Amino acid sequence: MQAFHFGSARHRLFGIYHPAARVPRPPVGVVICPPFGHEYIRTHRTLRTLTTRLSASGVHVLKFDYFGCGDSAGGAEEGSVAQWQSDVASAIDELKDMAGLQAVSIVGVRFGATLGAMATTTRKDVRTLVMWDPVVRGSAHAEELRRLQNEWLRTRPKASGPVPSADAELIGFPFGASLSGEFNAVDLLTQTKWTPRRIITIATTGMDHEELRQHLTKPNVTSESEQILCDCQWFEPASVHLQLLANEVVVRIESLFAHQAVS
Amino acid sequence: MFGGESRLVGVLTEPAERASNNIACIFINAGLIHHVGPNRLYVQLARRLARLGYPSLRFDLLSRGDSDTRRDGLSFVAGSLTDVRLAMEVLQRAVGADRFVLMGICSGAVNSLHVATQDPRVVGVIAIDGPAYQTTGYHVRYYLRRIGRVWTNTLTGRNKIGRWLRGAPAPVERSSAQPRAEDEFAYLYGDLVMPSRDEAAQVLGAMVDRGAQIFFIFTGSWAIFYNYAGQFRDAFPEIMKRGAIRVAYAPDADHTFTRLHHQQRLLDMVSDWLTASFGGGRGEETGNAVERPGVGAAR
Repeated sequence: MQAFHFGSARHRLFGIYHPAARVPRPPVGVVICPPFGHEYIRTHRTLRTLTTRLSASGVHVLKFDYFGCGDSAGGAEEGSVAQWQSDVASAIDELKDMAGLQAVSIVGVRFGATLGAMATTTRKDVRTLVMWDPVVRGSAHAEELRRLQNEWLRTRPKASGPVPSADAELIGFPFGASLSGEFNAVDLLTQTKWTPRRIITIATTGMDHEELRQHLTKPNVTSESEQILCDCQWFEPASVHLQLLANEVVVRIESLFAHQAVS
Repeated sequence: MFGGESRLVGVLTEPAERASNNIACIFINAGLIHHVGPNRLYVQLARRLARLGYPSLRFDLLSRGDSDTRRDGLSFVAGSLTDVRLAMEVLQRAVGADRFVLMGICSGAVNSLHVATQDPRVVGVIAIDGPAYQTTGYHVRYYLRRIGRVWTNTLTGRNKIGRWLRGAPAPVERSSAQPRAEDEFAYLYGDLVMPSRDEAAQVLGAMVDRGAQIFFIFTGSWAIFYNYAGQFRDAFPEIMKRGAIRVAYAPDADHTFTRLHHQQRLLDMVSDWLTASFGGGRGEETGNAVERPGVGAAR
Protein backbone atom coordinates (compact mmCIF):
# COMPACT_ATOMS: atom_id res chain seq x y z
CA MET A 1 0.00 0.00 0.00
CA GLN A 2 1.33 3.45 -0.89
CA ALA A 3 -0.13 6.82 0.06
CA PHE A 4 1.16 9.57 -2.20
CA HIS A 5 0.49 12.71 -4.17
CA PHE A 6 0.19 12.77 -7.95
CA GLY A 7 -1.06 15.12 -10.61
CA SER A 8 0.19 18.58 -11.53
CA ALA A 9 1.98 20.86 -9.07
CA ARG A 10 -0.99 23.21 -9.01
CA HIS A 11 -3.53 20.44 -8.45
CA ARG A 12 -1.89 17.86 -6.21
CA LEU A 13 -4.13 14.83 -5.75
CA PHE A 14 -4.01 12.36 -2.88
CA GLY A 15 -4.08 8.69 -3.79
CA ILE A 16 -3.65 5.32 -2.19
CA TYR A 17 -2.35 2.54 -4.37
CA HIS A 18 -3.01 -1.06 -3.44
CA PRO A 19 -1.02 -3.38 -5.69
CA ALA A 20 -2.47 -6.72 -6.71
CA ALA A 21 -1.74 -9.29 -3.99
CA ARG A 22 -1.23 -11.85 -6.71
CA VAL A 23 -0.64 -10.90 -10.28
CA PRO A 24 -2.99 -12.40 -12.84
CA ARG A 25 -2.05 -12.45 -16.49
CA PRO A 26 -3.06 -10.11 -18.01
CA PRO A 27 -2.97 -7.67 -15.08
CA VAL A 28 -6.15 -5.86 -14.09
CA GLY A 29 -6.40 -2.35 -12.65
CA VAL A 30 -9.31 -0.41 -11.13
CA VAL A 31 -9.62 3.30 -10.39
CA ILE A 32 -12.15 4.04 -7.63
CA CYS A 33 -14.12 7.27 -8.18
CA PRO A 34 -15.77 8.38 -4.91
CA PRO A 35 -18.93 10.49 -4.57
CA PHE A 36 -19.24 14.21 -3.89
CA GLY A 37 -19.73 15.94 -0.56
CA HIS A 38 -21.14 14.13 2.45
CA GLU A 39 -21.53 10.94 0.40
CA TYR A 40 -17.74 10.87 0.10
CA ILE A 41 -17.46 10.72 3.88
CA ARG A 42 -20.29 8.17 4.17
CA THR A 43 -18.85 5.76 1.62
CA HIS A 44 -15.17 5.89 2.55
CA ARG A 45 -15.19 2.81 4.76
CA THR A 46 -17.07 0.74 2.20
CA LEU A 47 -14.73 1.81 -0.60
CA ARG A 48 -11.74 0.97 1.57
CA THR A 49 -13.20 -2.52 2.05
CA LEU A 50 -13.77 -2.83 -1.70
CA THR A 51 -10.20 -1.71 -2.37
CA THR A 52 -8.76 -4.28 0.02
CA ARG A 53 -10.84 -7.11 -1.39
CA LEU A 54 -10.04 -6.23 -5.00
CA SER A 55 -6.33 -6.07 -4.19
CA ALA A 56 -6.49 -9.46 -2.48
CA SER A 57 -8.27 -10.83 -5.56
CA GLY A 58 -5.39 -9.81 -7.80
CA VAL A 59 -6.46 -6.35 -8.93
CA HIS A 60 -4.27 -3.23 -8.84
CA VAL A 61 -6.36 -0.48 -7.26
CA LEU A 62 -5.98 3.29 -7.07
CA LYS A 63 -8.33 5.08 -4.69
CA PHE A 64 -8.00 8.86 -4.85
CA ASP A 65 -9.51 12.20 -3.83
CA TYR A 66 -10.57 14.90 -6.29
CA PHE A 67 -9.04 18.36 -6.09
CA GLY A 68 -10.55 20.29 -3.20
CA CYS A 69 -11.79 17.07 -1.62
CA GLY A 70 -10.46 14.65 0.96
CA ASP A 71 -6.69 14.90 1.36
CA SER A 72 -6.06 16.45 -2.05
CA ALA A 73 -4.86 20.03 -2.35
CA GLY A 74 -7.30 22.88 -2.62
CA GLY A 75 -10.08 24.28 -0.54
CA ALA A 76 -13.51 22.74 -0.86
CA GLU A 77 -14.73 25.88 -2.61
CA GLU A 78 -12.10 25.41 -5.34
CA GLY A 79 -13.47 22.15 -6.68
CA SER A 80 -15.23 22.03 -10.04
CA VAL A 81 -16.79 19.36 -12.22
CA ALA A 82 -14.37 20.15 -15.04
CA GLN A 83 -11.39 19.78 -12.68
CA TRP A 84 -12.74 16.55 -11.27
CA GLN A 85 -13.10 15.03 -14.74
CA SER A 86 -9.49 15.96 -15.34
CA ASP A 87 -8.61 14.34 -12.00
CA VAL A 88 -10.21 11.06 -13.08
CA ALA A 89 -8.08 11.19 -16.24
CA SER A 90 -4.96 11.81 -14.12
CA ALA A 91 -5.84 8.87 -11.90
CA ILE A 92 -6.24 6.58 -14.91
CA ASP A 93 -2.82 7.63 -16.24
CA GLU A 94 -1.25 7.25 -12.80
CA LEU A 95 -2.53 3.73 -12.27
CA LYS A 96 -1.44 2.64 -15.73
CA ASP A 97 2.01 3.99 -15.00
CA MET A 98 2.33 2.52 -11.49
CA ALA A 99 1.05 -0.93 -12.38
CA GLY A 100 2.38 -1.15 -15.91
CA LEU A 101 -1.07 -1.45 -17.48
CA GLN A 102 -2.32 -0.69 -20.97
CA ALA A 103 -5.87 -0.16 -19.79
CA VAL A 104 -7.83 0.08 -16.54
CA SER A 105 -11.40 -0.20 -15.32
CA ILE A 106 -13.39 2.31 -13.29
CA VAL A 107 -15.67 1.72 -10.32
CA GLY A 108 -17.64 4.87 -9.49
CA VAL A 109 -20.21 5.55 -6.79
CA ARG A 110 -22.99 8.12 -7.18
CA PHE A 111 -21.48 11.33 -8.66
CA GLY A 112 -18.18 9.48 -8.87
CA ALA A 113 -19.83 7.08 -11.32
CA THR A 114 -21.02 10.09 -13.30
CA LEU A 115 -17.54 11.61 -13.39
CA GLY A 116 -16.09 8.26 -14.41
CA ALA A 117 -18.57 8.01 -17.28
CA MET A 118 -17.88 11.58 -18.41
CA ALA A 119 -14.11 11.17 -18.22
CA THR A 120 -14.10 8.14 -20.51
CA THR A 121 -15.69 9.77 -23.58
CA THR A 122 -12.30 10.78 -24.98
CA ARG A 123 -10.36 7.68 -23.93
CA LYS A 124 -9.87 4.21 -25.33
CA ASP A 125 -8.09 2.73 -22.33
CA VAL A 126 -11.02 2.08 -19.99
CA ARG A 127 -12.15 -1.52 -20.34
CA THR A 128 -15.02 -1.64 -17.89
CA LEU A 129 -17.10 1.01 -16.20
CA VAL A 130 -19.01 -0.02 -13.10
CA MET A 131 -21.54 2.61 -12.00
CA TRP A 132 -23.02 2.14 -8.54
CA ASP A 133 -26.21 4.23 -8.20
CA PRO A 134 -24.95 6.80 -10.70
CA VAL A 135 -26.21 10.36 -10.77
CA VAL A 136 -27.86 10.73 -14.17
CA ARG A 137 -28.69 14.44 -13.99
CA GLY A 138 -26.57 16.79 -11.92
CA SER A 139 -29.48 19.18 -11.35
CA ALA A 140 -31.57 16.36 -9.87
CA HIS A 141 -28.68 15.35 -7.60
CA ALA A 142 -28.31 18.90 -6.32
CA GLU A 143 -32.07 19.07 -5.70
CA GLU A 144 -31.99 15.76 -3.83
CA LEU A 145 -29.13 16.95 -1.65
CA ARG A 146 -30.84 20.27 -1.00
CA ARG A 147 -34.06 18.54 0.02
CA LEU A 148 -32.07 16.21 2.25
CA GLN A 149 -30.31 19.19 3.81
CA ASN A 150 -33.60 20.98 4.43
CA GLU A 151 -35.08 17.91 6.09
CA TRP A 152 -31.99 17.50 8.22
CA LEU A 153 -32.03 21.21 9.18
CA ARG A 154 -35.64 20.83 10.36
CA THR A 155 -34.43 18.34 12.97
CA ARG A 156 -31.94 20.85 14.38
CA PRO A 157 -32.76 22.95 17.46
CA LYS A 158 -33.80 26.50 16.64
CA ALA A 159 -30.84 28.88 16.63
CA SER A 160 -30.76 31.66 19.19
CA GLY A 161 -29.89 34.39 16.67
CA PRO A 162 -29.78 35.11 12.92
CA VAL A 163 -28.54 32.19 10.85
CA PRO A 164 -26.73 32.53 7.51
CA SER A 165 -28.54 31.13 4.50
CA ALA A 166 -27.75 27.52 3.59
CA ASP A 167 -28.19 28.19 -0.14
CA ALA A 168 -24.49 28.00 -0.98
CA GLU A 169 -23.75 24.78 0.86
CA LEU A 170 -24.84 21.17 0.74
CA ILE A 171 -24.61 19.09 3.91
CA GLY A 172 -21.28 20.34 5.13
CA PHE A 173 -19.65 21.30 1.83
CA PRO A 174 -19.63 24.52 -0.21
CA PHE A 175 -21.91 24.56 -3.24
CA GLY A 176 -21.67 27.99 -4.82
CA ALA A 177 -23.21 29.32 -8.00
CA SER A 178 -20.37 28.17 -10.23
CA LEU A 179 -20.45 24.56 -9.04
CA SER A 180 -24.24 24.58 -9.10
CA GLY A 181 -24.14 25.72 -12.72
CA GLU A 182 -21.77 22.90 -13.61
CA PHE A 183 -24.01 20.36 -11.92
CA ASN A 184 -26.98 21.67 -13.91
CA ALA A 185 -25.05 20.99 -17.13
CA VAL A 186 -24.42 17.33 -16.25
CA ASP A 187 -26.79 14.89 -17.97
CA LEU A 188 -25.65 11.37 -18.84
CA LEU A 189 -28.69 10.97 -21.08
CA THR A 190 -27.16 13.48 -23.50
CA GLN A 191 -23.80 11.69 -23.56
CA THR A 192 -23.50 9.91 -26.88
CA LYS A 193 -19.99 8.54 -26.60
CA TRP A 194 -19.47 5.54 -24.31
CA THR A 195 -16.10 3.95 -24.93
CA PRO A 196 -15.68 1.23 -22.26
CA ARG A 197 -16.11 -2.26 -23.67
CA ARG A 198 -18.45 -3.19 -20.84
CA ILE A 199 -20.70 -0.96 -18.73
CA ILE A 200 -22.38 -2.28 -15.60
CA THR A 201 -24.97 -0.22 -13.76
CA ILE A 202 -25.77 -1.29 -10.21
CA ALA A 203 -29.01 -0.13 -8.63
CA THR A 204 -29.48 -0.67 -4.90
CA THR A 205 -32.76 -0.87 -3.02
CA GLY A 206 -35.16 1.89 -3.99
CA MET A 207 -32.98 3.24 -6.81
CA ASP A 208 -34.14 3.21 -10.40
CA HIS A 209 -31.82 3.69 -13.38
CA GLU A 210 -34.21 2.60 -16.10
CA GLU A 211 -33.76 5.79 -18.14
CA LEU A 212 -30.01 5.29 -18.17
CA ARG A 213 -30.36 1.60 -18.99
CA GLN A 214 -32.49 2.43 -22.00
CA HIS A 215 -30.10 5.17 -23.08
CA LEU A 216 -27.24 2.66 -22.96
CA THR A 217 -29.11 0.19 -25.15
CA LYS A 218 -27.11 1.00 -28.25
CA PRO A 219 -25.55 -1.13 -30.97
CA ASN A 220 -21.97 -0.20 -30.05
CA VAL A 221 -22.33 -0.43 -26.24
CA THR A 222 -22.27 -3.57 -24.08
CA SER A 223 -24.35 -2.60 -21.11
CA GLU A 224 -25.69 -4.60 -18.17
CA SER A 225 -27.94 -3.64 -15.29
CA GLU A 226 -28.06 -5.26 -11.90
CA GLN A 227 -30.34 -4.82 -8.93
CA ILE A 228 -28.74 -5.50 -5.56
CA LEU A 229 -30.74 -5.75 -2.35
CA CYS A 230 -28.94 -3.22 -0.20
CA ASP A 231 -30.51 -0.16 1.39
CA CYS A 232 -27.92 2.60 1.09
CA GLN A 233 -30.35 5.23 2.45
CA TRP A 234 -28.95 7.93 0.18
CA PHE A 235 -31.92 10.19 0.90
CA GLU A 236 -32.54 9.43 4.58
CA PRO A 237 -31.88 12.46 6.85
CA ALA A 238 -31.05 10.21 9.80
CA SER A 239 -28.26 8.54 7.75
CA VAL A 240 -26.58 11.72 6.55
CA HIS A 241 -23.68 11.35 8.97
CA LEU A 242 -23.61 7.56 9.21
CA GLN A 243 -20.99 5.38 7.59
CA LEU A 244 -22.44 3.24 4.82
CA LEU A 245 -21.92 -0.49 5.10
CA ALA A 246 -22.79 -2.07 1.75
CA ASN A 247 -21.18 -5.50 1.84
CA GLU A 248 -23.62 -6.89 -0.70
CA VAL A 249 -22.45 -4.37 -3.29
CA VAL A 250 -18.78 -4.81 -2.37
CA VAL A 251 -18.97 -8.58 -2.78
CA ARG A 252 -20.72 -8.25 -6.14
CA ILE A 253 -18.22 -5.74 -7.52
CA GLU A 254 -15.36 -7.93 -6.31
CA SER A 255 -16.86 -10.89 -8.14
CA LEU A 256 -17.08 -8.86 -11.35
CA PHE A 257 -13.29 -8.57 -11.36
CA ALA A 258 -12.36 -11.93 -9.83
CA HIS A 259 -10.51 -14.39 -12.04
CA GLN A 260 -10.47 -11.73 -14.73
CA ALA A 261 -14.21 -12.15 -15.26
CA VAL A 262 -14.12 -8.57 -16.52
CA SER A 263 -11.69 -8.15 -19.37
CA MET B 1 5.71 3.07 4.65
CA PHE B 2 6.82 1.98 8.10
CA GLY B 3 7.42 -1.79 8.44
CA GLY B 4 5.59 -4.57 10.26
CA GLU B 5 2.41 -6.43 9.48
CA SER B 6 -0.19 -3.75 10.17
CA ARG B 7 0.20 -0.34 8.62
CA LEU B 8 -1.03 3.11 9.58
CA VAL B 9 -1.92 5.75 6.99
CA GLY B 10 -1.69 9.46 7.59
CA VAL B 11 -0.85 12.88 6.20
CA LEU B 12 1.81 15.12 7.70
CA THR B 13 1.25 18.87 7.29
CA GLU B 14 4.35 21.01 7.66
CA PRO B 15 4.11 24.82 7.92
CA ALA B 16 6.20 27.11 5.75
CA GLU B 17 7.36 28.80 8.96
CA ARG B 18 7.47 26.99 12.31
CA ALA B 19 6.16 28.48 15.53
CA SER B 20 8.95 28.99 18.08
CA ASN B 21 8.18 25.86 20.04
CA ASN B 22 8.50 22.14 19.38
CA ILE B 23 4.79 21.40 19.52
CA ALA B 24 2.98 19.38 16.90
CA CYS B 25 -0.71 18.50 16.71
CA ILE B 26 -2.28 15.12 16.17
CA PHE B 27 -5.84 14.55 14.98
CA ILE B 28 -7.54 11.38 16.20
CA ASN B 29 -10.37 9.66 14.33
CA ALA B 30 -13.92 10.73 15.10
CA GLY B 31 -15.70 7.39 15.39
CA LEU B 32 -15.44 5.49 12.12
CA ILE B 33 -14.72 8.56 10.00
CA HIS B 34 -11.32 8.53 8.36
CA HIS B 35 -8.51 10.98 8.94
CA VAL B 36 -9.96 13.86 6.88
CA GLY B 37 -12.50 14.24 9.68
CA PRO B 38 -16.23 14.92 9.56
CA ASN B 39 -16.96 17.41 6.75
CA ARG B 40 -13.19 17.45 6.03
CA LEU B 41 -12.70 19.34 9.32
CA TYR B 42 -9.32 17.79 10.17
CA VAL B 43 -7.93 18.85 6.79
CA GLN B 44 -9.20 22.39 7.32
CA LEU B 45 -7.81 22.51 10.85
CA ALA B 46 -4.44 21.08 9.83
CA ARG B 47 -4.01 23.73 7.14
CA ARG B 48 -5.17 26.50 9.48
CA LEU B 49 -2.74 25.36 12.18
CA ALA B 50 0.06 25.29 9.63
CA ARG B 51 -0.57 28.99 9.01
CA LEU B 52 0.04 29.47 12.74
CA GLY B 53 3.31 27.57 12.51
CA TYR B 54 2.15 24.20 13.85
CA PRO B 55 2.94 20.94 12.09
CA SER B 56 0.32 18.24 12.41
CA LEU B 57 -0.41 14.64 11.61
CA ARG B 58 -3.87 13.39 10.78
CA PHE B 59 -3.91 9.63 10.62
CA ASP B 60 -6.10 6.57 10.92
CA LEU B 61 -5.92 4.32 13.96
CA LEU B 62 -5.70 0.66 13.07
CA SER B 63 -9.07 -0.65 11.88
CA ARG B 64 -10.10 2.87 10.94
CA GLY B 65 -10.06 4.67 7.60
CA ASP B 66 -7.25 3.62 5.30
CA SER B 67 -5.11 1.91 7.96
CA ASP B 68 -4.92 -1.84 8.21
CA THR B 69 -7.03 -4.00 10.47
CA ARG B 70 -5.72 -4.34 14.02
CA ARG B 71 -4.28 -7.81 14.58
CA ASP B 72 -2.38 -7.40 17.83
CA GLY B 73 -5.34 -8.26 20.04
CA LEU B 74 -5.27 -4.94 21.86
CA SER B 75 -8.56 -3.38 22.92
CA PHE B 76 -9.75 -0.20 21.21
CA VAL B 77 -8.47 1.93 24.08
CA ALA B 78 -5.08 0.23 24.51
CA GLY B 79 -4.62 0.04 20.77
CA SER B 80 -5.39 3.72 20.31
CA LEU B 81 -2.75 4.61 22.90
CA THR B 82 -0.18 2.54 21.01
CA ASP B 83 -1.12 4.06 17.67
CA VAL B 84 -1.04 7.65 18.92
CA ARG B 85 2.36 7.09 20.53
CA LEU B 86 3.58 5.88 17.18
CA ALA B 87 2.21 9.06 15.61
CA MET B 88 4.22 11.05 18.14
CA GLU B 89 7.37 9.19 17.15
CA VAL B 90 6.70 9.95 13.50
CA LEU B 91 6.37 13.66 14.27
CA GLN B 92 9.48 13.60 16.42
CA ARG B 93 11.51 12.12 13.57
CA ALA B 94 9.93 14.21 10.84
CA VAL B 95 9.77 17.69 12.42
CA GLY B 96 11.61 17.39 15.72
CA ALA B 97 8.48 17.79 17.84
CA ASP B 98 8.81 16.76 21.47
CA ARG B 99 5.49 18.03 22.78
CA PHE B 100 2.05 17.38 21.40
CA VAL B 101 -1.49 18.70 21.31
CA LEU B 102 -4.09 16.03 20.65
CA MET B 103 -7.41 16.82 19.06
CA GLY B 104 -10.49 14.81 18.37
CA ILE B 105 -14.26 14.74 18.06
CA CYS B 106 -16.39 12.24 20.01
CA SER B 107 -14.30 9.06 20.42
CA GLY B 108 -11.39 11.16 19.19
CA ALA B 109 -11.91 13.43 22.17
CA VAL B 110 -12.07 10.49 24.56
CA ASN B 111 -8.92 8.98 23.08
CA SER B 112 -7.12 12.32 23.22
CA LEU B 113 -7.86 12.68 26.93
CA HIS B 114 -6.95 9.08 27.64
CA VAL B 115 -3.58 9.35 25.90
CA ALA B 116 -2.92 12.66 27.64
CA THR B 117 -3.36 11.01 31.03
CA GLN B 118 -0.83 8.33 30.06
CA ASP B 119 1.84 10.38 28.32
CA PRO B 120 3.44 13.56 29.71
CA ARG B 121 4.55 14.62 26.24
CA VAL B 122 0.94 15.66 25.65
CA VAL B 123 0.79 19.30 26.71
CA GLY B 124 -2.63 20.10 25.30
CA VAL B 125 -5.93 18.51 24.39
CA ILE B 126 -8.84 19.80 22.34
CA ALA B 127 -11.78 17.57 23.17
CA ILE B 128 -14.88 18.19 21.04
CA ASP B 129 -18.05 16.52 22.32
CA GLY B 130 -16.08 14.36 24.72
CA PRO B 131 -17.05 13.15 28.16
CA ALA B 132 -19.09 15.47 30.35
CA TYR B 133 -20.83 15.18 33.70
CA GLN B 134 -24.44 15.95 34.44
CA THR B 135 -25.05 18.44 37.23
CA THR B 136 -28.10 19.69 39.09
CA GLY B 137 -28.27 22.51 36.57
CA TYR B 138 -28.27 19.95 33.75
CA HIS B 139 -31.22 18.05 35.24
CA VAL B 140 -33.19 21.23 35.93
CA ARG B 141 -32.77 22.36 32.33
CA TYR B 142 -33.55 18.91 31.01
CA TYR B 143 -36.89 18.72 32.80
CA LEU B 144 -37.83 22.35 32.15
CA ARG B 145 -37.29 21.77 28.45
CA ARG B 146 -39.32 18.58 28.60
CA ILE B 147 -42.17 20.44 30.28
CA GLY B 148 -41.95 23.10 27.58
CA ARG B 149 -42.03 20.42 24.88
CA VAL B 150 -45.05 18.74 26.52
CA TRP B 151 -47.00 22.02 26.38
CA THR B 152 -45.94 22.66 22.79
CA ASN B 153 -46.73 19.11 21.70
CA THR B 154 -50.13 19.26 23.42
CA LEU B 155 -51.05 22.48 21.68
CA THR B 156 -49.85 21.19 18.31
CA GLY B 157 -51.31 17.68 18.66
CA ARG B 158 -48.01 15.83 18.70
CA ASN B 159 -48.55 13.94 21.98
CA LYS B 160 -51.30 11.66 23.33
CA ILE B 161 -53.27 14.41 25.01
CA GLY B 162 -52.93 16.71 22.05
CA ARG B 163 -54.04 14.00 19.64
CA TRP B 164 -56.98 13.10 21.91
CA LEU B 165 -58.04 16.73 21.98
CA ARG B 166 -57.88 16.81 18.18
CA GLY B 167 -59.28 13.31 17.61
CA ALA B 168 -56.15 12.27 15.67
CA PRO B 169 -54.75 8.66 15.43
CA ALA B 170 -51.80 7.56 17.60
CA PRO B 171 -48.32 6.88 16.12
CA VAL B 172 -45.91 4.23 17.42
CA GLU B 173 -45.02 4.71 21.10
CA ARG B 174 -41.46 5.58 22.04
CA SER B 175 -39.85 5.61 25.46
CA SER B 176 -39.86 9.02 27.12
CA ALA B 177 -37.40 8.08 29.87
CA GLN B 178 -34.32 10.27 30.15
CA PRO B 179 -31.44 8.25 28.73
CA ARG B 180 -28.63 7.65 31.21
CA ALA B 181 -25.37 9.28 30.28
CA GLU B 182 -23.46 6.17 31.44
CA ASP B 183 -25.44 3.95 29.05
CA GLU B 184 -24.83 6.29 26.14
CA PHE B 185 -21.12 6.47 27.01
CA ALA B 186 -20.89 2.67 27.06
CA TYR B 187 -22.72 2.48 23.72
CA LEU B 188 -20.36 5.00 22.15
CA TYR B 189 -17.04 4.07 23.68
CA GLY B 190 -17.12 0.32 24.29
CA ASP B 191 -14.40 -0.87 26.61
CA LEU B 192 -13.46 2.60 27.89
CA VAL B 193 -15.05 2.91 31.32
CA MET B 194 -16.48 6.34 32.06
CA PRO B 195 -14.68 7.50 35.19
CA SER B 196 -16.74 8.80 38.06
CA ARG B 197 -16.79 12.55 38.54
CA ASP B 198 -14.29 12.28 41.41
CA GLU B 199 -11.98 10.12 39.32
CA ALA B 200 -12.26 12.56 36.43
CA ALA B 201 -11.46 15.45 38.77
CA GLN B 202 -8.33 13.64 39.94
CA VAL B 203 -7.20 12.88 36.42
CA LEU B 204 -7.84 16.39 35.15
CA GLY B 205 -6.16 17.81 38.23
CA ALA B 206 -3.06 15.71 37.58
CA MET B 207 -2.92 16.93 34.01
CA VAL B 208 -3.27 20.54 35.09
CA ASP B 209 -0.59 19.96 37.77
CA ARG B 210 1.93 19.03 35.09
CA GLY B 211 1.10 22.09 33.04
CA ALA B 212 -1.28 20.71 30.42
CA GLN B 213 -3.86 22.96 28.79
CA ILE B 214 -7.25 21.57 27.87
CA PHE B 215 -10.00 22.95 25.67
CA PHE B 216 -13.42 21.34 25.89
CA ILE B 217 -15.97 22.19 23.21
CA PHE B 218 -19.54 20.96 23.48
CA THR B 219 -22.21 21.26 20.80
CA GLY B 220 -25.98 21.19 20.85
CA SER B 221 -25.92 17.60 19.59
CA TRP B 222 -24.33 16.57 22.86
CA ALA B 223 -27.41 17.49 24.90
CA ILE B 224 -27.60 14.04 26.46
CA PHE B 225 -24.39 14.89 28.30
CA TYR B 226 -24.19 18.70 28.24
CA ASN B 227 -26.93 21.32 28.01
CA TYR B 228 -25.77 24.70 29.36
CA ALA B 229 -22.75 26.94 29.18
CA GLY B 230 -21.60 26.70 32.80
CA GLN B 231 -22.03 22.98 33.23
CA PHE B 232 -18.34 22.07 33.21
CA ARG B 233 -17.52 24.81 35.71
CA ASP B 234 -20.33 23.60 37.96
CA ALA B 235 -19.07 19.99 37.71
CA PHE B 236 -15.42 20.85 38.42
CA PRO B 237 -15.34 24.24 40.18
CA GLU B 238 -11.94 23.83 41.83
CA ILE B 239 -10.14 22.72 38.68
CA MET B 240 -11.70 25.49 36.62
CA LYS B 241 -10.34 28.11 39.05
CA ARG B 242 -6.82 27.11 38.06
CA GLY B 243 -7.24 28.58 34.59
CA ALA B 244 -5.78 25.74 32.55
CA ILE B 245 -9.09 24.53 31.18
CA ARG B 246 -11.20 26.48 28.72
CA VAL B 247 -14.73 25.42 27.85
CA ALA B 248 -16.82 26.55 24.90
CA TYR B 249 -20.47 25.72 24.39
CA ALA B 250 -21.90 25.94 20.86
CA PRO B 251 -25.56 24.95 21.24
CA ASP B 252 -26.40 25.85 17.63
CA ALA B 253 -23.70 23.62 16.16
CA ASP B 254 -24.21 19.92 15.51
CA HIS B 255 -21.78 17.13 16.38
CA THR B 256 -19.88 17.40 13.09
CA PHE B 257 -20.23 21.18 12.50
CA THR B 258 -22.17 20.65 9.29
CA ARG B 259 -23.05 24.29 8.64
CA LEU B 260 -20.16 26.17 7.05
CA HIS B 261 -20.37 29.10 9.47
CA HIS B 262 -20.05 26.63 12.37
CA GLN B 263 -16.97 25.12 10.73
CA GLN B 264 -15.44 28.60 10.45
CA ARG B 265 -16.23 29.28 14.09
CA LEU B 266 -14.54 26.04 15.11
CA LEU B 267 -11.41 26.90 13.11
CA ASP B 268 -11.29 30.30 14.83
CA MET B 269 -11.87 28.88 18.31
CA VAL B 270 -9.13 26.28 17.93
CA SER B 271 -6.69 28.81 16.45
CA ASP B 272 -7.36 31.31 19.23
CA TRP B 273 -6.92 28.74 21.96
CA LEU B 274 -3.73 27.29 20.50
CA THR B 275 -2.03 30.66 20.10
CA ALA B 276 -3.23 31.85 23.52
CA SER B 277 -1.97 28.65 25.15
CA PHE B 278 1.27 28.04 23.29
CA GLY B 279 1.99 31.04 21.05
CA GLY B 280 2.22 30.99 17.29
CA GLY B 281 1.77 33.00 14.11
CA ARG B 282 -0.90 35.52 13.30
CA GLY B 283 -2.76 33.12 11.03
CA GLU B 284 -1.89 34.98 7.84
CA GLU B 285 -0.57 33.27 4.77
CA THR B 286 3.15 32.98 5.35
CA GLY B 287 3.70 30.57 2.50
CA ASN B 288 2.24 27.25 1.47
CA ALA B 289 2.25 24.39 3.93
CA VAL B 290 3.64 21.13 2.62
CA GLU B 291 1.61 17.96 3.02
CA ARG B 292 3.21 14.54 2.92
CA PRO B 293 1.06 11.40 2.84
CA GLY B 294 2.63 8.27 4.25
CA VAL B 295 2.11 4.74 5.44
CA GLY B 296 3.82 3.46 8.59
CA ALA B 297 4.22 0.28 10.60
CA ALA B 298 2.18 -0.31 13.69
CA ARG B 299 3.83 -2.46 16.33
